[in-house]
Amino acid sequence: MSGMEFKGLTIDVDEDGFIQDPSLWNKEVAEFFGKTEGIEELTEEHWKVINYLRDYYLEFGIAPMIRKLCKETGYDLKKIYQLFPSGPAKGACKLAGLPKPTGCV
Amino acid sequence: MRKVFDDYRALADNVLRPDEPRVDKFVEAMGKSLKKENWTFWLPYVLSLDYCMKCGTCAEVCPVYQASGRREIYHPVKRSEMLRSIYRRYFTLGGKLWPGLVGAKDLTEDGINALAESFYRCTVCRRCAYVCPVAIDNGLVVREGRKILDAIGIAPDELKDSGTQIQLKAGNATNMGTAAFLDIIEFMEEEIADTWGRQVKIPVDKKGAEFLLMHNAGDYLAFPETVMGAAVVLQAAGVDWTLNSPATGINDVVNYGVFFSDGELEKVLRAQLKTALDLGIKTFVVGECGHAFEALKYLMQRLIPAGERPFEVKSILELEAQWIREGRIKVDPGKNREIVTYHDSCKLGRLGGLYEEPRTILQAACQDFRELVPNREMSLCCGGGSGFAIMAKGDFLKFRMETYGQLKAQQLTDAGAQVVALACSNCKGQFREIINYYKLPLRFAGVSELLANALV
Repeated sequence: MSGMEFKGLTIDVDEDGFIQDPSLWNKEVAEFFGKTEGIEELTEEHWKVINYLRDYYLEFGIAPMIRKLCKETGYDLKKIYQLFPSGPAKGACKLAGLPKPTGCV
Repeated sequence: MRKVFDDYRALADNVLRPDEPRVDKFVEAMGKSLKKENWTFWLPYVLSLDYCMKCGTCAEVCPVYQASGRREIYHPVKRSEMLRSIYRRYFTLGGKLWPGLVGAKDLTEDGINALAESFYRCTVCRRCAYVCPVAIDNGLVVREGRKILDAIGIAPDELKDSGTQIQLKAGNATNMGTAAFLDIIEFMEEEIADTWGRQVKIPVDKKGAEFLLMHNAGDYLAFPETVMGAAVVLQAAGVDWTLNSPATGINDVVNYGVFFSDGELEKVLRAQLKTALDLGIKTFVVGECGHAFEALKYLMQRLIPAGERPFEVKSILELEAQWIREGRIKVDPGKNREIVTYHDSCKLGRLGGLYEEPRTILQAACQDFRELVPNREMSLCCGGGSGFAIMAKGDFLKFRMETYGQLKAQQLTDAGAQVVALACSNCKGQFREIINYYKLPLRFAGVSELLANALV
């Protein structure tokens, strides 16, 4: 575990850069994580994905199925990779402040 | 993270603890591994340490050695020698008396660092073991080495803390609760209707069912087409079957213990066994997952007496092939018109012997099925094996892509395939990355998905 300095606050992240305490997430944290992933600016399209992931996680305690994410946002996997170059799990979930997905995903 | 072996690190600092003294513990753990109580493969392990002619036949077929441009550090004999030199030094008379003469070396902390990383560059695909003239199994040596490392607290967190440990607690390694599971089932039923125009009711937690189909839980989240396809096929076959939710115990067929620990392997197997017994099912069907098939079909036989597991274990591929042969399900290959090829998973093929089953299915269900070359016994590992598919710390994904992945990408391109059929979840995870990394003009699909698509 290590801390990332951000606007005077320290955000604890794991070895892969995922937030340790998802309750500390906010929009600024998402923008900050975006920069660590090489995403300079978060567009409306990014937010559509992030907000869906966030809402699903708060309801079910896990990231949604990638297929459901695609269906609900209307973006195919290729588009998700364009938006989040590290992909839905390692990229989009990180920005949305979810813990790192585990298992064979 | 500092460099300890090559330009990559599979194990983070908090796992490897590269500056901590571990030599004594390592030697002690290795001593235990050489005793017969090391029940899994003690004899081939010890024989593999004692006898190697260093002829190099293995290196000629080793994907990581070949793809790296024959870098010496990735030579399979070199890798095994890292453990052999410790074995000779501390556990043979010659090595204790005349270490220099017999190739025995004192173990150092840097030596442990290099060995640990080196043993996480090999996917244990065991192509080397298949060609060795004296049946040395470098893959087995790697697995035993990983067991020793785990015994001194060095195991990838993806496989242990976030793997077997979560699975034993939550029922699956994805940490999916029952509410999420049921939400997924409902969504899949809708998707099946949208995709194939079929009304499928997916049975869940049905006691006494003839078939309990247990998938890799990651498939629900990342590769649901496989889960959906299997459901369509089972309903079409008209059999009595069920999936199970985490409320019943373990509902994830994976067993990462296969990759690094007999202790974890046994705990997961026993928990899966208990779930199956509680449900009172007749046949335990392993979904499209290679290492799970190894654990449940083969390793369980060595660990748990037959009387304690009163059910059959089958791969979903065996059942699907059987139902096609029997005419129980009917298919129209014209429904899969693309050029389809099949990648033999190491665990299902070379280890498990399932070569004909996937081909029976795909040749029946696809109009233009073509083989990758080489295939079957000599199939090239995709690079997702032994846990790699879910390991991507630092630059490790790049390692997977530039070595194993590069050979596989070339092979796929040469085959001119539009679809590569896969029957293993780790392969799917790795191919997803390969296709993205090399911008290949093709897609992957589960075998069950292609079969469902061809049903009439």
